[in-house]
Amino acid sequence: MIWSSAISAFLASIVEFVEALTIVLVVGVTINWKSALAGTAAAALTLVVLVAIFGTALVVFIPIEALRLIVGIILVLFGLKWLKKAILRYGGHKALHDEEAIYEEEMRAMRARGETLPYKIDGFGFATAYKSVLLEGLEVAFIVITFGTSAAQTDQEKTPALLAAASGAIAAGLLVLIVGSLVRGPLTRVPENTLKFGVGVMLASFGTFWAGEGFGIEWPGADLFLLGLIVFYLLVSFLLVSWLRSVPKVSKANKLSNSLVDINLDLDDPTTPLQQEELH
Amino acid sequence: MQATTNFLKAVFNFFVGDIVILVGVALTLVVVALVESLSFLNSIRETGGYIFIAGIVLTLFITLRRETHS
Repeated sequence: MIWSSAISAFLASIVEFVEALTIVLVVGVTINWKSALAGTAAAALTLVVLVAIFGTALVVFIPIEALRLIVGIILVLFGLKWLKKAILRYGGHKALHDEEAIYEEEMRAMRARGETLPYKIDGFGFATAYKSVLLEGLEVAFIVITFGTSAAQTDQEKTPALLAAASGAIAAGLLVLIVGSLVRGPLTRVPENTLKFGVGVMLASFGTFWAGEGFGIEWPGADLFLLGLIVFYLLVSFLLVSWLRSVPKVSKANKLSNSLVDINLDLDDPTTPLQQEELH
Repeated sequence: MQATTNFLKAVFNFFVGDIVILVGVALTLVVVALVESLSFLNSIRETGGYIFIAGIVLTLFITLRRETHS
């Protein structure tokens, strides 16, 4: 169970850190590396403090049974949010996250601001790097805390489980940092959607399992049921992706023109579009 | 007032960002809680876990359908 929290935190962290790295790179290249790295370090420190405060509070004050119910529900919500995005992307109804395009766009915006001093910490650069790492890292911090505290079987296991999850996130951060410094560009080859899909399935599965236990549900096969849940959610997700691929895409332009047609129909005829459909 | 609304919106977007998911999961939880606690529903208590899973899958299906068909 402790390994599961480390792996989930690792995978979730890679997705978020890759997104944060893109903005940090833009700040480093366009403004200066001092501002980019100072902003990143300050955000990382803020996240460590948040995990330490909230993690410790959860470990010390809330019993494992209550924690599993609350955390389980939140993980289900989080998991569905991630899974929905990943399924829509695989189904072709949402564009894949394009780090290269984001990098170019941010770069243009930063360069439009004009020249900055190359060796001084620039307030705007610092704030941009800080904000991007903090915002992307908050979800990671949340996953680390929730997974870390709930993966434990007993109250005594809560601290090692939290440390395991935090280690997973730190390992992911270091990996992204090392690869990013070697590549010196946005990490376009990281399969972000696959990771998001996998983590979404894991969050939903663990969330269902723990929230169910919190309600007093006795899962058949105890902990083994969790594996069955992961396989089930994977299968359902694949089915949903193949269903979405068969659904024709409605572009925003089409939606707009359809709504304009509806308005025209309203002007010509006092009945509403729904009533007109019923009449035909 | 504006600050409170903005804060609540930020919290909502951070955790869910989709009202269908929030309402779907909330309704599922209410149903599961009723099944687990009401004595006259003892006969279906063993299916509480499956009702929970079905509710979550249905919520995911409805939100995807809404995204692609609206």
